[in-house]
Parts: sequence; structure tokens; C-alpha cells
Amino acid sequence: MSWKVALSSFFESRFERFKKKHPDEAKSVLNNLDTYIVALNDGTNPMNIKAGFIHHEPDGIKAIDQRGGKSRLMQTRLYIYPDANTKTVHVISIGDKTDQNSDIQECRKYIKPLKQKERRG
Amino acid sequence: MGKQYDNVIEMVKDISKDSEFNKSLEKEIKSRQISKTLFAMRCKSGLTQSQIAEKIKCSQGRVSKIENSYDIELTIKDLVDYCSVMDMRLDIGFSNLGLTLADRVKFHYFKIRELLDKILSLAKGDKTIEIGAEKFAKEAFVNISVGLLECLQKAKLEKKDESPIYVSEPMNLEEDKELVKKD
Repeated sequence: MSWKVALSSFFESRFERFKKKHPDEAKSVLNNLDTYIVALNDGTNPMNIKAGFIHHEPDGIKAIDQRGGKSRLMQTRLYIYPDANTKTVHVISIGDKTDQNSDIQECRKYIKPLKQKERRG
Repeated sequence: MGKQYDNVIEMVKDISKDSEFNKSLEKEIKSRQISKTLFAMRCKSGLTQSQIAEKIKCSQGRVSKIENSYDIELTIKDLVDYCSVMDMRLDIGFSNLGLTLADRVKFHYFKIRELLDKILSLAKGDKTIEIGAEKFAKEAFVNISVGLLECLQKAKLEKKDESPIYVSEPMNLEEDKELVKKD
């Protein structure tokens, strides 16, 4: 079974806003997200996917950056959470590096019920 | 949980109305399919870029560059080097663009036969291997047959349920007599 992608309720509006200002950065992080999903679909455990563009944040959250795209791109973070039980990559938020602390806190809040479900399941 | 998507391209097409952006992203993703696969293979093997670099005697930077390259920029040597580290062989296939899916099924049927014949001929002369090869051929026969049977069942046209009872309209003899008279 292949991994699926699911979006947080607020991702769409944030992505639209971000993409309007920084289309190249948006493209680059999405390309890296695709690479990450290719590795998941190849059967690799999310913990074992190591690359320069993946930052391991608390609670299993991953921040995917813009590396590999055009040169001189702004530091960008796409926050995701790979749920191995349901084989779903939750795409939670996108932002620049300056907001990363508040973004991570928000992501932790978002995945709390998912993790509770995981524990129960 | 809200909507789910099979991949990033599908997701972006759904949430972004900017068709130029969507096309450009799709092009970017599709032009790096081989390098993405190499990255996935490395992750699965548990090796780091530095370990790969050490094994193929190049810099970590080169490995990073390979994993970020567009497919048309990769050389056969890059691929062979990568495969050799992961105990893999690079298979290159050429196929006619005019081939249909049915032609491909036929092609694979002949390939399977060829490979099974090869196994059986290699086993000749050694009783233990002969028994193993025969067992494998039987297993392959059962597994392939079951798989094909499932396909066949999917392909079968649905039969309409024929009810064993047919209820006709009530006969009205008086009306019928009238009709006969008119004729």
C-alpha cells in the first residue's frame, strides 16, 4: 500500500499566501516532499530517511527545507508528520525560518490527537 | 481527516489554481525520477552519502549532486557506481512506443517461461536442486494461476440476475374476446 498525503485544515490558505510571495521556495520544498514520499513508498522507515533537506523536530515532526532548488532561496520549512500506522503523511504548515518556533508548537498541537490515536490503536 | 491524495502533484493540482506553478512543479518532479529513486535506495539500505562516497571512491559532494540531478544529467557510470554499492545491477530496457499493455503481458509470459526453463535446465543433474526447482515451478504455477484467475474474474461481464419467477399481467378474457372480434 502506498503512502497517502493529507492536509491540515489550515495548510491550504497558508500555502496560497506563501506561494504568492515565494513561488520558487514553495516549488523546491514540494519537490523535496515528493522525494521524501518516494523513499517512504520504497519501504523505508520514516526514521531512516536522512537527507540534508530533512530536519527532525520533536514528536516525530519533520521540517523539509528548500535545499536542492534554485540558488539563493529563502530559508523555508514545510512541516509534515509521517504516521506509519495509517501510512499517511500529514502536511501541516509552511513558513520561513523566522517563524519556526511558533510553527513547530502549532504542529505539535495538531498532531496531539493523531498520536493519542496511535497509542490507542 | 480531510481529503487524501496519492501524491504531491495530485495534491497541488487540487489546492492551487495557478496552472503555471502546477505545471512547472510537475515538470520539476518528473524530470528527477531516477535521482529520487537513487535517494530512496540509499535510505532503504541505511547508508549515508559519505558511506556511499567512500565505497565508490568519490566525494560526498558528488553523491549529493547525483541525488539532486535531473535525470538527463546522470551518466550510466553514476548509476552503475550507485548500484554496485547496493548490490544491484543496472537493467536498461528499450521498448517500442507502439507496444500495448496486452503486448507487454505477452512479453512477460514468454519471459517467465524462459526463466523457468532456465531454472529447470540449470537444476539438471543434481537431484536436490532438481527437487527444489520442480517445487518452485509448481509454486509459480499455482501463484500465477491464482493471480490470473482473479484478473479473469474482474474481467468477467456481470451477469444479470434471471429471476426464477415471472409474473405476467392478469389475463382478461373478455377484453381479449373483444380484440379478436375487432380483427
